[in-house]
Amino acid sequence: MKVTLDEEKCCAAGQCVLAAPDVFDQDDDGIVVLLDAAPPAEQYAAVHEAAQLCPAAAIVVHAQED
Amino acid sequence: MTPPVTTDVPDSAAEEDAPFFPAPRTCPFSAPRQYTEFREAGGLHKVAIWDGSRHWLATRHEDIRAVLASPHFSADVRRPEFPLVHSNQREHEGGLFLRLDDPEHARLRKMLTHEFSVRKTRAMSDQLLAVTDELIDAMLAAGGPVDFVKEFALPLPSRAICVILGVPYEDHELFQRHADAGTDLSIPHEERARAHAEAFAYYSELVERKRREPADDMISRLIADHTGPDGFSPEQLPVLVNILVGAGHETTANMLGLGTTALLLNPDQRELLRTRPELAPSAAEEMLRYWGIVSTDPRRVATEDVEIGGQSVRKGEAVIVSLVAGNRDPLAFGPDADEVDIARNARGHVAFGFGTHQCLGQNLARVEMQVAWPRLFARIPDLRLAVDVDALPFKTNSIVYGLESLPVTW
Repeated sequence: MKVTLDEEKCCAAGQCVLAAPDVFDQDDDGIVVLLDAAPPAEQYAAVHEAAQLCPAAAIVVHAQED
Repeated sequence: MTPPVTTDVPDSAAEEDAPFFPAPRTCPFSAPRQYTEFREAGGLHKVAIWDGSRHWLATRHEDIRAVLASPHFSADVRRPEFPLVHSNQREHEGGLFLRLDDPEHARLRKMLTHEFSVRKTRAMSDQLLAVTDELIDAMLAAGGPVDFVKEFALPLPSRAICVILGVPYEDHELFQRHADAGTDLSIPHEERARAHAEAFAYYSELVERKRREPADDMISRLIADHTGPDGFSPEQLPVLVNILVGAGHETTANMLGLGTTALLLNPDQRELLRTRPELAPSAAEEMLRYWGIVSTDPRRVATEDVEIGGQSVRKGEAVIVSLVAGNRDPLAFGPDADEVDIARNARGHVAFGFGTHQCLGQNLARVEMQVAWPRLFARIPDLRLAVDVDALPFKTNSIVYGLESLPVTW
């Protein structure tokens, strides 16, 4: 899995930090920060949930062949 | 000529093919029956609002998300087609950042978001716990029965938002009255206008005081960093602070009252939370989902022809969404969506809306509930209603659903 962000879209709701705190954080302005662009398999469900919950569609999850 | 009373005219404005919006919750614990039927039928349905105009209503979780996430809808109340929530809305809120569209909305919102990040709101936990304990101490000292709304649900979030913004808590009766007038749909136009003018005068003076004597609070930071041509205008700042105070205390106060009621009426759930306090975050999400307290909003106007839920919506037509109907959608939350289950994953609820206008203070609301409920049931394990459930006074005609009072004892 590869994760990319569109920080311009981020509206600082913080949903991603609640769903996948090992992968996402917020900077001092509340804007999303990617902690792990290639998270391990045990994070996949949380990352998908974060992308689904993001109100601004700022998280893009790319399937990647191992 | 008498200006229109904003609601209280359900049947005169509505016809059979377009029922009046917002419909009351015939059962206080359910979504309005009409909206459940609309959701089961699928698609969008026409409703009539206070001024007689007709608009689409979305009730399915998927459709609500689609409307609120779409760039082809506008939240700008200054648009002539916008379905106003009451007769004062355009005058009171027109041009305010939350009623603007991106990119202008996003630009202004980013001047506020840093105050409500997950980290910053979580850092308030200890302070919130101290206030929670103080309020519980006072309830125990007074002895039951007490009105939980007055003694706990209102003061906790009121004190929190006062600390954040730098509003003197001694003035709480004043700002709580302003918030009531801003959300009660049964009061006449002039009364709401009067309350708004009074609030504007109060916050203008407060902002002026902060300008002279800045302190370590959000109002002072807004004045220092975000006023002027690129930020909030001097006329907008008092209105913005008024909105932040209102949204910052009234919504969570209603959630604390309603959520406590749901936990008292579902003893297995209360016991689960008492024995497993680590479920507090999940319990808060479930209560947000179950109650879906914002009853009249959000509303949007289509800026292009779009299709939502199989229905074509023409440019210039408006869509209102029923958040509570979406939160009870079995397609999103399963066949038991009408039940309280604090262990379920309810995070996909739309209680805070969706899209880039999603509630600015949502993480503050979460922390307040997460701190309050475990402590409350740990310290008063035998808390119970002091009146019959049928006697609970639910707000029947308000922008935000809640309880007028909640008599409890132990």
